[in-house]
Amino acid sequence: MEDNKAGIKDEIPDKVSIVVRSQGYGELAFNVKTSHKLSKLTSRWCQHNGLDPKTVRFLTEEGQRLNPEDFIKDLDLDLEMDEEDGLMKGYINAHMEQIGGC
Amino acid sequence: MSTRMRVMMIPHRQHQQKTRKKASRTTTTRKPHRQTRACNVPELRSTLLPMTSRHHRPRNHGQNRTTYWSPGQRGARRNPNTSCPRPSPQKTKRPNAPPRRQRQSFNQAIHLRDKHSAEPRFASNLRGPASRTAHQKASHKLGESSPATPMGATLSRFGRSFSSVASSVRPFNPRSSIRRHERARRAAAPSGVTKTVQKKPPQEFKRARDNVYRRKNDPLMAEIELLVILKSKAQYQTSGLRTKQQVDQELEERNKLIQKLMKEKADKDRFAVAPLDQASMQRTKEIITKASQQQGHSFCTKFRITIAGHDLVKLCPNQWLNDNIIDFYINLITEREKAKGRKVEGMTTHFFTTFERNGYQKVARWLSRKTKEYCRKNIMELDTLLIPINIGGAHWTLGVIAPKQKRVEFWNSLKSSNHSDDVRRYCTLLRKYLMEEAGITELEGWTDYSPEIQPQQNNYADCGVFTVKTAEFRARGAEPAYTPRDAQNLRYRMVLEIVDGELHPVGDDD
Repeated sequence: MEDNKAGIKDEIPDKVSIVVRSQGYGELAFNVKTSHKLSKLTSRWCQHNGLDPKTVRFLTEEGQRLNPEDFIKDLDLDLEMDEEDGLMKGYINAHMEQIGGC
Repeated sequence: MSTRMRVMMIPHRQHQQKTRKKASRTTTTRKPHRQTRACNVPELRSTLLPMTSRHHRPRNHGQNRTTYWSPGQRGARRNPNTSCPRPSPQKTKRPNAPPRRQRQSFNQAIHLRDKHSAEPRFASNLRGPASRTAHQKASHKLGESSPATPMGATLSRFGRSFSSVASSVRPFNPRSSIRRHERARRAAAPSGVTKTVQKKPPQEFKRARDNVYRRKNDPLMAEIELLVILKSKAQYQTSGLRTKQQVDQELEERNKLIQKLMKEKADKDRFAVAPLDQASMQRTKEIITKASQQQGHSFCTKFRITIAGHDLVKLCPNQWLNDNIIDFYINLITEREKAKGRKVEGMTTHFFTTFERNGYQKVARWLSRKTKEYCRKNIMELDTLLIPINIGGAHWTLGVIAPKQKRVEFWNSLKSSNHSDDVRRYCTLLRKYLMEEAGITELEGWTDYSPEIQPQQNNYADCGVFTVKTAEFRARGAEPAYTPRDAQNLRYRMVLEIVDGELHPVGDDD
C-alpha cells in the first residue's frame, strides 16, 4: 500500500482534478496544474461562493490542514484515477472559520 | 439698637476675650497631635494619608476657627477699611476644607424660629440634626437657668442687633457650644479642677477598627490604617488609659500582623503565569502593532497553518480567538509533548464539528493519519487526546480523552446553569467517537470528568485562551492552575509563542 502511494506521488501528473467539498456549498471540481499554488484554486472557489478567503480553511480528507500557499504537487493528497476524463482526482474539504469567546 | 442692649454687650465682650485666650490654649495643646500624625509614619504617608486624613483624623476645626470664625463673629478684629463686619467664609475658605453647609434662607429661619418657640432660638438650633443634638446636649447639662447662656450670649449669637436676625443664621460652629459647655462646667465645678486632656473612651479604637473593616473588607489595609491611628494616638493615650509599654507592645504586635498579612497578600496575588519582562512586553506590543497595521502579513507558518496579521490581532485583549490560533497552539503543545516522548495528540478544531455533523465515517481516518508516523493505530495507546470543541460558533471548550486514566474530560471555562447536561452531552459524543475509534462496544471503567472547580473566565472573550491553556496543562498531566487574572498575561505570551513557533518553558513540569 505504502509503496503504491509513494509510486503515485512520484508520478504526479502535470494536471489534476481537485474537488472542493463543503457543507452547504456542494462540490466543485477544478482542473489545475500541479505547479500552481493551492491559493489559485481556493481563491477561485471563494470567489465563486462569495466568501472571504481569510475565513475559509481547507482540510484534506484526513483532517490535515492545507496551506493555500503550498504548491499543489507538494500537497499530501490522496489521488485516485478518474476514468471519465482521465485525470487524477483528489478531494479537499472547505470549512468555515470558527470563532469563539463566550 | 436699644441702650439696654449696648450696655449688656460690653461686659460680654470682655468675657469673650477671656475665653479666646483659653481657646488658644486648647488649640496649642491639640496641635502636636496633628503634627505627630504626619511625621510618625513617613514610609506610609504617601499612600495612607489621603485616606486617613479623610476618614480618621479627628474633626479638628481649630484652623477654620482661628482664621475666619473668631475675628468677624466676635467683632474684635473687624477690618476697619470695609463695611463688612466679618470676612466671608467662602473667600477665606481653605482649599481643602470640607464643604460647608448651605445657609438657610431668611424665610426658613424665621419659619423655624416661629415654629419652635415664642422666644428666639440660637442659630445652631436652625441647623441640621447633628448640631441640634450637640446643642441640646449642652443645654441639657446647663439646665434652664444656666448662667452660661445669658442674654448677652444670645445677642452676640444673633449678631450685632435684633434687626439682623436673618444674618445670624449661619453655619453651626461646634466649638462655641463646646466652649459654652466648658464654661458651664467650670462655673459648676470648684476652681482649679479643670482638665485639659480628656480621656479617650476604650471603645473608640475598637469602633474605628470595626468601621475600617466594614468599609474596606480588606484586613491588610485596615490593619495598616489602624497602625497609623494607634501611632498617632500613642502619645496622649500614654497619659491616660495605657502605659507606654502597653502601647509599644501593641504597636509591635500590629507591625508583625501587618507583615504577615502582607506576605499572605503577596502569595495570593502572585500570578500563576508570570508576567512578561520589559523587553518581551515591548516586543509583543510591536508585533501586535505591526499585525494590526498589516493584516495580510504572514507572521508564522508552521503545521501548514499560516498565522497572518488578522489572526494575531485576535490575541489583543477582549478579542475572540479563531480556529487558526487554537489549532496552531494545540499543535505547539503536541509538538512539545512529543519531543518529551509523551504520546499526546491534538485534533483540529474542525474535528468535533465534522464528527458531530457527519458522523464517525467522515473522521475515521483523522487520528490514524496523525499517528501514522508513530505506527500506532490504537487510540488506547495514547496518553492524552486533546479535542478543542467549538460550540455554536461562539464558544471554545476542551474535550480530553485520557485512556491511561480511563477518563473522558470536558472542560468549560464558562459553566452554564445546566453544566451537567453539557457534560453529559459532550462526553457521550466523545465516548461514541472513542468506541468507534477503538473498535469496542463498551467502555468499562471509564468515567466522565468535569470538576466542579475549574478555571472560569470573568469576561465574554477569554474562553479560547482558557481552552488552550487547559489543554497545555492537561497535555503534561497537570490540573489547570491559573486564574482569570492570568488571561491577559497568557494572551501576550501566546503572541510570542506563536510568532516564535515554540512554547515557553514551564517551570513546574512533571
